[in-house]
Amino acid sequence: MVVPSWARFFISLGYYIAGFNSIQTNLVLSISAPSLAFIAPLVSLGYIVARSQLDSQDYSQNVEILKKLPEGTPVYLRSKENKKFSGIFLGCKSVSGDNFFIVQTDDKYKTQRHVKFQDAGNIQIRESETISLPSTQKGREMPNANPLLNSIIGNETATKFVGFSRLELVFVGEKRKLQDEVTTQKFASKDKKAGILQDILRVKQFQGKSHAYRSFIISSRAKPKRVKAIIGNPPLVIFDGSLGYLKWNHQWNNSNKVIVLSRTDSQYEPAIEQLIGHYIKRSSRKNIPEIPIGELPAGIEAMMFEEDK
Amino acid sequence: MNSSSIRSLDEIYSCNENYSITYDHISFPELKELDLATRRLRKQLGEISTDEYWNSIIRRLKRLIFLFSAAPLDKEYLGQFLSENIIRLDNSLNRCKQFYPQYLPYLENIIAAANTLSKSELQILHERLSNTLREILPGSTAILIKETSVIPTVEKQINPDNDTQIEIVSYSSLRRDLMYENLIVVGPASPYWYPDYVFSAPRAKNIFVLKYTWLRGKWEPKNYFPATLKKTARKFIEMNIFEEDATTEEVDFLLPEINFDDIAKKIELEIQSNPSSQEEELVTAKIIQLENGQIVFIDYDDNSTELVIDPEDEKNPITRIKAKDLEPYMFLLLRTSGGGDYIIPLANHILGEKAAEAREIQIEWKDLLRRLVITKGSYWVINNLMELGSKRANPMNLHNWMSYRSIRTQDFSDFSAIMTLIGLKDNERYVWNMMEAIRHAHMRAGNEIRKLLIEVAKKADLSELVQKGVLEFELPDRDAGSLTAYRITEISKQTIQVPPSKMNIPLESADYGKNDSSKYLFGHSLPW
Repeated sequence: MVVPSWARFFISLGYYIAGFNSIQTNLVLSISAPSLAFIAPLVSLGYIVARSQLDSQDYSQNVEILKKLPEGTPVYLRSKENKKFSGIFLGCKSVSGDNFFIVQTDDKYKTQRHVKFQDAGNIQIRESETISLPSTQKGREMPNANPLLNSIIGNETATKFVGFSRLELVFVGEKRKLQDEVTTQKFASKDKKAGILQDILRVKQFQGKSHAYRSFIISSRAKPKRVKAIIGNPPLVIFDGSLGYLKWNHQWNNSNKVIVLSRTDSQYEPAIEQLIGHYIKRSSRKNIPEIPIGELPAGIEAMMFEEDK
Repeated sequence: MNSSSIRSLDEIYSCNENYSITYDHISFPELKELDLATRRLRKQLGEISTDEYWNSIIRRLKRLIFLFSAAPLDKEYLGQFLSENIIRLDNSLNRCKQFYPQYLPYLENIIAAANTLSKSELQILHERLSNTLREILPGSTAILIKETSVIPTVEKQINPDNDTQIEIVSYSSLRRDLMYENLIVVGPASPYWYPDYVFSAPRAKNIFVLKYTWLRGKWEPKNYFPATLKKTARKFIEMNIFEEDATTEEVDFLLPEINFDDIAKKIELEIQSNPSSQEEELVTAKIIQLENGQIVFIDYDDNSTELVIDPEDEKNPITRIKAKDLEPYMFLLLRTSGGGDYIIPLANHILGEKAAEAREIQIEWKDLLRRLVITKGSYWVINNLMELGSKRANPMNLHNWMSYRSIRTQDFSDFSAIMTLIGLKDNERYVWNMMEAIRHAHMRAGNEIRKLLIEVAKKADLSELVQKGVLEFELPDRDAGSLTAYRITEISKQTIQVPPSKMNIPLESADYGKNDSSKYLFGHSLPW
């Protein structure tokens, strides 16, 4: 079956949110729906695909980030042979008029790999603060991108996408429900490349530890303090259901938020009450009357405002 | 997990684009008269209505009218229920004449209305439902009934041929992403009666509401957010068969009340008036209302957990979750009969060779204590135990310690005092250790039985649980007790202090709230 219009709307919504960029405020988008199913994964699909442009964008932004990176920062390096190395960033250097970043990739020979500025996208900053490099390192083969992913974001971007982790969003909801949605339902692109949403959303907990991830799920029932310490402030948090929103709403001051509520949810009314309180504290008094991406699907109510960071 | 598919969601969104609600306003003047007469009496009584005599009368009348409004049952069923109530009302007349003569005319009016009702076509709702079933578009049809306890009876009466296209559902079934062609709602479309999502997140394109003309209950679409984005207009059609009365009555009057504050007050009074309860270590608990109207006190400590059953999880339906994570609509598993006679034989089996000696010692020290109570009296025993260092000697605890069903005291100082008093001081450690062995064996036996019951629950047809909201799981061929799964309908916001003896046991809310103590209607429990 063709992806229905309501599903396309939620994917577009994800694209739209990915375009929001403000230093002082977060975007808060709330959705009231007749069912909770699939909204969070579809919004995140649009969001992650839109954000994947960062993997293929003009290298100058990456260059600027790396220029400010302290020496000794642990990184990953993708070689021309499509292999992944652990490395330590050693700064930048000019050789015969060409600019390079330097990455050390082993301990024994102190091998220094030179990466041209235009290949800055091949260096990814690791989450860990310190690493010890192996004595020697041959590099690991980078995984092949899935046909659906290739088809949607293009082969070159897809290769980078599956090679490096970058936390784009955090889901707060019921793990089993989300896992079922992102790993069971088959989708296909226009050119009939099939796959599942997990091929693109790459939820960390639903795949092997060595795979690069783009999203993370927190159970609505987890203890906030412990998990918050692990994941910091992601660009986007999607509350998939009332319970997660009620429990975790105050955890992220520097993230955009999507709040998906189903009217069939047992905690729907308390969540609406909390959301009204949230709205009252919004930063701009100016309401946003519509989303410029087309009509809301029937049965969907939505509200959008900005909150101060 | 029964996951939602894009296809089933597509049907839901498509339904949201275009659906209709048809209100069938049913005239039933005889029932209306009884309802209005009851409301008039309640209004006249004012605060006196909480007196036991009037409270009981009003509750029964409300239940009667509720049943006629909520359950499309046949005239035999309703007639029997009505005649029982008329007899009760007649019996209450004398007391009214004697103590409340000013209200006699109101009560007589009610009895007259009830008698008139008994001569009317009782099964109006039943007939209207049957007609609707004949008239609607062919296709899958759900019949929504608020009173889940009568679902099996309604099913037999309305769908005797087991037409698979017809399903009788409770409102929580309509949370699933499952669509029907038609939904017939029995009772008013009032937020007191059914949750908003039945109408705002419809699971059928054609919704029919069967309600009486004088009862208020039409669903109105509304905005949930204070600054909603521009919405797509729904093609929502409202139709009416006949008209609602010019003045309508609120339907919450007919519904069973559960007042958590009243329950909390009653528990507090009970503790104050019962000295032995005051000495028990109280537990911080929340009150949970169950689908069948009973309540249960659940330990609300940070670390306490409860067993819940998820009918949608086919692989592992039973899980243990934190009590703080319990929510309405979840199914809470409670042990509803305590292991029966099977615990002792199983515990003896676990004790092995020790069993005979341990049981002999258990009986011996209890016999000695009993003899002392018989010869010297319980106050003498309690005073002496206290002098010997017992901290919890009181009539209730002494009663428990003497019981062959109990094993030992909670605290060793109490046990030591008993041993000294009955002349077993020299062997107190040995006796204590033997009792400890019995206690461990009982705990293991209880856990084993629980595991067996969980296995039974895993194999059971859980669709029945979804439909009725309550399901008992018996362990086959063994007198090992049962677990019952209850849908949670409400959880109190506040916590209260409750004696441990009352925890995790389904209790009649009537014993604690303002509700009726009689819960059975022809073998089916009712929610009050």
